[in-house]
Amino acid sequence: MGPTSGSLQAATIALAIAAAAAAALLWNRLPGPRPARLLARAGLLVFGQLMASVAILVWLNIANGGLIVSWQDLLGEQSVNGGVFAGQHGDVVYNPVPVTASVRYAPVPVAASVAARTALRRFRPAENGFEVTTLYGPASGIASQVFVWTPPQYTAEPSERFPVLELLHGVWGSPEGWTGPMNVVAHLEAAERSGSVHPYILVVPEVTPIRGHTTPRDNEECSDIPGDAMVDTWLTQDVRTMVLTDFRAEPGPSGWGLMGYSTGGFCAAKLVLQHPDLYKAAVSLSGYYTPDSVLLRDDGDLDHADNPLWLVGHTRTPPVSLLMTASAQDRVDPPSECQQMIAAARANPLSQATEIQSFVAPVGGGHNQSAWEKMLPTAFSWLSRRLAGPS
Amino acid sequence: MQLTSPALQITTIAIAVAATLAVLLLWNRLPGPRPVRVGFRIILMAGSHAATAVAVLVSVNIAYGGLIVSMDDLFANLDPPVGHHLRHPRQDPPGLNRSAPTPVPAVNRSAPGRAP
Repeated sequence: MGPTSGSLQAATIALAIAAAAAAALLWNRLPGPRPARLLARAGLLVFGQLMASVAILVWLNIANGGLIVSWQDLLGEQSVNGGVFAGQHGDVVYNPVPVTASVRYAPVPVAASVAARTALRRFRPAENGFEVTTLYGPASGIASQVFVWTPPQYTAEPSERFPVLELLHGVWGSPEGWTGPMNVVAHLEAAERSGSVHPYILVVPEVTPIRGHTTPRDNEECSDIPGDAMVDTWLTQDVRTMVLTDFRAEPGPSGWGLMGYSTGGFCAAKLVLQHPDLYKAAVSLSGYYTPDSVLLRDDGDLDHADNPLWLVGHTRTPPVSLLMTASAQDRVDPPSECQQMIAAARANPLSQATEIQSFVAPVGGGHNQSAWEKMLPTAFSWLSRRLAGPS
Repeated sequence: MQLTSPALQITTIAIAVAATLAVLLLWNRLPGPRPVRVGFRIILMAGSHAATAVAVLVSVNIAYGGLIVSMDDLFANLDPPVGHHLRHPRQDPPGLNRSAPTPVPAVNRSAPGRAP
């Protein structure tokens, strides 16, 4: 009886109805002394209420395509000790197997004098050591939240500039999906102790900053939509400019990576292909590669220009790196979507400059943060082989 | 209304507890003739179930990092008229696509304009 099974749904509904009926019928017929009767009434009532709540949650999970597919997703053995993917036995196997194990880019020269916090922007403390600010983006005209986390090394090394990972959440979703249940700081710090992962500044912007456009069907999917909103500009110019102004961040593309889950993965794949002058590498955690939103799908031009699968299949793509991870158990964005990307890239002679790899976890879990957080150690070390460290 | 605030979580839990206590305390103390009492009881039961479900949903939403952040999200028009945007987006009546950008918040902003 898995979390998406019809039998679980039927059982929870039946138990909820049975408990409510039993409470109503037996209320004044329960045996025993007064405290025992009261306890039995309360027990029946609360049990029925919880079963009704579970029935609603099961229904929501099934209605959304099965976000949680196994009990492991809920009970989850989250590893913040730098372990590889739970459910992944042996080494991480990339497809295609990387030709060069390590791609290094020359560090970008930076000015010698680097101020600590350069501007007067006000940040409020948020969970897990993040700080949050409300950014008015001059280029996009969008005002929304951006969360930032700086590593301990940032304070310890006041003259160094640090590489940045821009982390994109899914839809429905909010930046708190990254700052909270992904345990991204714990995973990064654990991975850093292995010695092969850089101390990144983590930047988590709002991916759906436009009111009323926050659903999978009608969000901008990180694109500039003429006549609607410039979410690409918000993410790649406004957020970036704020980070470069207020933090000692690497200015060049070799110091900037993208990572996102679900719609955020679509965005990471898309933005790294569109902005090789800004980002060198991207990781898509259980992302998809053709637009979902009607804002893009219904417009012939945007449906190509903002479509990672079309870009790698039909255009000359830049020398950037993209890792796509997937779980074989994921029903919402299954591994076949990565395979389509790799096949399209292989068939297009113009896309050979782009490094495109996938990694499929056989028992990676469903479409949820518990599954994605287990992909983080792999993602951090993959990114750190492609991005420059602090300088 | 923000759906991810701790205040809302506490409020919904408190309401759920109160609704459940109300069922326990009022079940045999309801006034009126039998059909009216039965009606009240059904309302009490349904209300306590709904209050508990709301509290659970709000807490689950927060635990997953705020899947649904505001009431606007919940009542967004998921099925807009066909062709309402796109293809000719500039011809859309204003306000159909989205509300105007939120006003500039009163925070200390850094000087804009530095090229990325």
